[in-house]
Amino acid sequence: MNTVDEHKTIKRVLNGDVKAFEEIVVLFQDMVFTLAYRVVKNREEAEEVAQDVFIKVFKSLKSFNEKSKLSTWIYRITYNLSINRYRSQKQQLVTTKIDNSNENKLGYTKDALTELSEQEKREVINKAILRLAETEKIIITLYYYEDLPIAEIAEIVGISPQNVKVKLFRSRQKLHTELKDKVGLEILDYEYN
Amino acid sequence: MNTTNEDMDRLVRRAVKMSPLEKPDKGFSHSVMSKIEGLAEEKVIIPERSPLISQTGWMIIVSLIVIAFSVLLISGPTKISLSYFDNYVSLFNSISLFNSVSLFSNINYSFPISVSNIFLTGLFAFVFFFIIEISIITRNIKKVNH
Repeated sequence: MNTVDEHKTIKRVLNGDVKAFEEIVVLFQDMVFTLAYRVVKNREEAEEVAQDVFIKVFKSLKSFNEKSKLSTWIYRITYNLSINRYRSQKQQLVTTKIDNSNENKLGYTKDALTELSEQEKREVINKAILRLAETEKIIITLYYYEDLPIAEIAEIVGISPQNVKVKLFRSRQKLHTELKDKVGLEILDYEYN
Repeated sequence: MNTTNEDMDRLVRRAVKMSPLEKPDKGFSHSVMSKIEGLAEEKVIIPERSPLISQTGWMIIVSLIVIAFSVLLISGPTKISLSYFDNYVSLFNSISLFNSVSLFSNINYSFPISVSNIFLTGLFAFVFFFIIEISIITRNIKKVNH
């Protein structure tokens, strides 16, 4: 959906065509859910956050500034609600350690490609992303999945573009260090080329 | 071998994209939409409230009051007698049509009570605004019922 279509859909919703809002939900649900899940680390809670995001978007659709992108606005709401949920979660629970048992069993000293199936590689990558700091996860997800420019990511997470660049560099280094032995990043790169 | 930032970016991009976006449960959009539709219905039930008398209406009313008070202040605290209605009566009597009717010519129209200017103006203003208010309320009730 391009910006023109986005604005048409918003107008339809504002004129009382509530069903048109489903187009927005379907379009953004995966990204909103992924961002929420990466912050709260729990599917049920992530679904609740995602639902709250869409309800908030619907309620404040009138105040949406047509000059900005709908996606940027929705992701900013997602980021804020997820971080709020994460903070209240943190107060209630002792942080659960991410289960490393599979990684220990597999023994990464051997050739990573022969040891790990595609599914296992995905799990390792996902866990590595989940180990990043909350804002770093959001930055990595928006930068690599959505290919969003630095300025837009800065607007979403509410920090300066320079700060986003620093955080992106650090999280990229962390992921590289963690994944190069586990999934054999260089071999992976060779495979794709 | 030292990995440059560009290499690292390329390698991490490939790795990250191997792990697809998370998907919510199948009924997610349906459950969101049912909540949204519920919200939309609530919105419809609450009627938009508008004031009975608009801003312009209030401006006119206030300026009328100000004008009335200014006139009263300028005219001073003199009292008038309601017997000035006698003038109208004599006007009626002067018309030949009424003169021919004995009923009119024989009645003595005199008003012994005298009231102040303020009371009289207040009474007229009350009647005037009461009529305006009734007409506005009636119009609004009709609008709501439609």
